[in-house]
Amino acid sequence: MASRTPNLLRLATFRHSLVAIPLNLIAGLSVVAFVYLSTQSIAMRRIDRDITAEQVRLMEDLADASSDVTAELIGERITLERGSVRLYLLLSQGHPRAANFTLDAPLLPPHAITTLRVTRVGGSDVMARLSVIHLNRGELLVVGRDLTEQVGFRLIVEETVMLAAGLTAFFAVLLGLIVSRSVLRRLSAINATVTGILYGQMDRRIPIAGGEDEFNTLAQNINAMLDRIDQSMAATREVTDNIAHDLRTPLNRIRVRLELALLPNTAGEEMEHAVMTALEEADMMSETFEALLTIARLDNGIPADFAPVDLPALADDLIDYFAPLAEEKDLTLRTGPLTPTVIMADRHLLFQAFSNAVDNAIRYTPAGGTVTVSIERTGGAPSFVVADDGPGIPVEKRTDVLRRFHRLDTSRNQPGTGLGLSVVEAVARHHQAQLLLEDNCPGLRLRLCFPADSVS
Amino acid sequence: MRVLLIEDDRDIADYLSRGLRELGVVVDCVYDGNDGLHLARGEEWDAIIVDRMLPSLDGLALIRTLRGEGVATPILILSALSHVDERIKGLKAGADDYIIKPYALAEVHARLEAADRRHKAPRGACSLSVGDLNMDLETRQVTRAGTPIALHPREFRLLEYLMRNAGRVVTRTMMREAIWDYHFHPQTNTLDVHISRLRQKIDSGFGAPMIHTVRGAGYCLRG
Repeated sequence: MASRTPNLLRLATFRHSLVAIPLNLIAGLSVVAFVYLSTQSIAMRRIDRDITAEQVRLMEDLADASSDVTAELIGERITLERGSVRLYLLLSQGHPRAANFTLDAPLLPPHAITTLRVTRVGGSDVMARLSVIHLNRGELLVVGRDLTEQVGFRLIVEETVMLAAGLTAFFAVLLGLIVSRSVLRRLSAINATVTGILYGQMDRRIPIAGGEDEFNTLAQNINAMLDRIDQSMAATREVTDNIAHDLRTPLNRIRVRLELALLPNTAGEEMEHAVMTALEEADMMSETFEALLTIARLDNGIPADFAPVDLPALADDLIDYFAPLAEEKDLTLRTGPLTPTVIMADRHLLFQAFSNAVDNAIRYTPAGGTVTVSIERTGGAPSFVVADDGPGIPVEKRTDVLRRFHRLDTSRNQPGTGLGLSVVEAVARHHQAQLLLEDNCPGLRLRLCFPADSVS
Repeated sequence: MRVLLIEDDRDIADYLSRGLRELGVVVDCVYDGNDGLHLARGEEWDAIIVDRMLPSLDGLALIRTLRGEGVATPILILSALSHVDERIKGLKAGADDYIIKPYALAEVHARLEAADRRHKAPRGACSLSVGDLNMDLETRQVTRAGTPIALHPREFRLLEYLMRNAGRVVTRTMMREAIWDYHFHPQTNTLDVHISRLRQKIDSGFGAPMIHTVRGAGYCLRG
């Protein structure tokens, strides 16, 4: 039934936040890589230019020098540059004559600048940038530069990147946990309330924190839904209570009369009367069922079987049908304006609905009053109106009266099923029409307002 | 009057048979659709009563078959399906009338008689006469014992229906359906007031009253 709030780590919010980590890393690393590579290439070009310049200078100095002079010059240079990053190597017939480094590599390609691992004299292995020139007498001069600094820089960058990646991941996870916990807390509140309601605490509602965030909106919506459900249930309870009364009472009367009829010494006439009354009550119950069935069918949406219905003609039929009754009760039953209108509708249902409305008007208007039936047209929308000058329905009771079996008098001993207006409402819904109860000042004005597109 | 009753519910069949016999109707009862079809074809009946829901053969199908074979006997449907659509379906299938459960015996009897009358009535009468009451269908004039009576159109229609069914019980439901095409139970019994008005015009001031109340059933016009 109710599910427990999930483990923090299985929370969707948390898992989504973990996605941030590789994204952040990729972003960060890309930036760092770009910056690093740019600076490296600039640095490298500078070094290469430096090497080439040094080569040029040396070539000038060594213009026509002999191999001994060359060796001496290079040696001087080496001494001068002791402790610096400059590297010199003079090879005569393959043998080094002056050098501050050694290398294991095979013959270097001429006029190329390469990066190789070399060993400094009196020092360690380092990476070096080297350039080779051929001198006149078959001698090779290698000029270069120690790249230790550059390599060191790269190592620092690598370390920094790893540290940053680690921190990013850590903070991303931390943030994820914090956000998820917050979300989880709000969800738990909602889950707890809903679970409570599921277990029968019908009046609980989800607590709403301050602010207008999406959780509050959700909470408000769920609360509104719960209120609506509450109302429905209350309405259903009222209906079942009233059905129980309205059907138990006649059932009881039937029972009582039939029992009486069976008593010894009951005269034949008395028995006949008892049985006849029982039959009448049974018929009343039957009518109640019919009305309930009609409403249920309409509520469940039977397919609309509409044909053109002439509303003024229907109004005339109504007056025709009810005129004697109105006369009997000393009421004036008349027609108001009957705007010629033909709508697509179910004539049988309309007749029943309108008939209930007129019947009610006649029933509740005291002698000497007037009931008026009219067909109006407001902005293309046709409406059927029954207006009386009786006591009317107080504003606060206007929604109540539409409830099934509701009666204005709570003793429930008036004749009639109490379903009259419910039937009218159900028929109205079936026709996409609106049932309005207005103040006729004095009296009640019942209006069935049909949609403009029902006009055929 | 000889009636064939095709009804599978034994209690209802029993109730209707006995009740109708008390009223002077000869009733033969079968409990199965196919048997009913067989009997309906084989013999002459004044009317046939068919339950809508029968085992082995649907009531509407039975009626369609009979009509298809040219059987013109008036047929009444008994049904628990009350919606107007169902009634229309039944009438379209060829039935003459449609009675909704629960029904009063008087209702069934009254409708049987009305169906019988319609079936046997000479067509195209131009006037109706019951006792000293006369109705000219062309001029729409009504007289009793020679005295003209002014009737409202609705009163005329009501009287016409009563006169066409003279001597037979006419129920309130029948009148509502025939005159106003009203197929629901109204909240208030308006019809009694209509009859009361008609009585004032037709009966008061004349000899014996012609419109009689039949307790538990309806009304009857008798000369």
